[in-house]
Amino acid sequence: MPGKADTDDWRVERGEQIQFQSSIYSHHQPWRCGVGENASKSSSADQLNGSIVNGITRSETNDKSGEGVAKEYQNIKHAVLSTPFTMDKHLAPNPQMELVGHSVVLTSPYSDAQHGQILTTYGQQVMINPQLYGMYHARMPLPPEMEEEPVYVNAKQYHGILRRRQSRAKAELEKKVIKNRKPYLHESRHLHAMRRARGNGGRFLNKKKLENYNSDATSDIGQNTGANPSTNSPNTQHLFTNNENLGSSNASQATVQDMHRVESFNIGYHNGNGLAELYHSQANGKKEGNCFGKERDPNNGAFK
Amino acid sequence: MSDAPASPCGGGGGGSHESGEHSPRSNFREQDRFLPIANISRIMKKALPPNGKIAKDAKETVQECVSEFISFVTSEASDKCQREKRKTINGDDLLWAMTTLGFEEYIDPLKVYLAAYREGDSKGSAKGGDASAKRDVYQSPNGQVAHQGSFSQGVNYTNS
Repeated sequence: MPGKADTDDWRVERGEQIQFQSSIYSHHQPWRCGVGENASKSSSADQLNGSIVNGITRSETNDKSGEGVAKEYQNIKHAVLSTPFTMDKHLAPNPQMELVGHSVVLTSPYSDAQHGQILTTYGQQVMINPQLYGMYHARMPLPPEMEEEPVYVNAKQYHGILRRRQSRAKAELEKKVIKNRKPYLHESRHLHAMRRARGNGGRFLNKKKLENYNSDATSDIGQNTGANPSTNSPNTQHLFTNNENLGSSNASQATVQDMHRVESFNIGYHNGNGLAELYHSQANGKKEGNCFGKERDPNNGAFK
Repeated sequence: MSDAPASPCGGGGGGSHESGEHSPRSNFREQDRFLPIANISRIMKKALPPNGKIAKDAKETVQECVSEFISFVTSEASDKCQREKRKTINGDDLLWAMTTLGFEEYIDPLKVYLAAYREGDSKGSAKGGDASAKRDVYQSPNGQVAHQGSFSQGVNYTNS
């Protein structure tokens, strides 16, 4: 029942939004540019954060768990760095293997230069693990590129890793891997969130705050007395500009569709808030995104 | 990197029809591959002090880790079900798969969560086989973090 109700509501919203598409896209343009700029920043810092996360993982977990996480972490780099799968990889020769412990029949795996690079890094991490924990586990060499150093993994996970490699290669063949994440998943929900009134600090206004906001609109659109204070100065300036745009559109809509707007606020409040969080985190960059995350904590608690 | 900023702006400048065309495929694929990032973010915040913050790329990294781990364990359980000519993966199959992959230390807490989940399920309405399988799949990583609430919220988010 709730799912169906949401569907009907979103359909109504979509019908309504067609009327305001031109104005919405005029608002949307600067956000798009912001997203592009932030993408380059986050990509440059990716390695540093990645190493930090991996270090924390290795220090906190035991040998087996750490190894699993490290292996999974390598998959992320593979996903980020990988290019579309080409037929050349099928022709790669199967290099000779030195097996530690008991012998295992090897299935023909997929291997490529980038995969080899990633696995080399993983090999270094695996060598560190036994020293840290003073434990020794039987390791089996994974088949890498011929020239690369062999990578040793938990023997129990050997077949699973090979199977997952084939599954990922198959997925790459059928469809391209998602490289650029979209700032939002649903266009209609995004448009709805962009049209909602926002108070000081960028948070959505609920029904009561909306009334206060409308009353204060005549005196000063950019500021809302008693709203959430914001400690980040550039963040505040940026959001004031956005508030002015939304304030004007909000004023025009309030006169035409007051009842329907109030109803849409009630129904879509939670989803809109979550969507805005995702959007803001990408649009405003790393620092401002963290600020939003901090401010939204009590709000999330209230909804729970 | 120069292409990345240009294409979103170009997409925005283009007609709504084009963005409408692109979004369904991307939405389907991203939803199909990853867990919802908001739920993962909430789980990560549980381990932080109140004033802690998480960077966006850290959330995406953990999102990919968790999603890959789910596929890793599920494929192992799926192999077992295929050998036994069964079509439905249940919680015990996942526990067996984790044991086979070297995660024995997680079996005891996961058994506790699986028992608690089954008790809770008997109170609620009956569910189909596929739904139960999906729930069991989601339960494994959540069991490690010991946060049952996020699990149910995750399911609701996926359904919507």
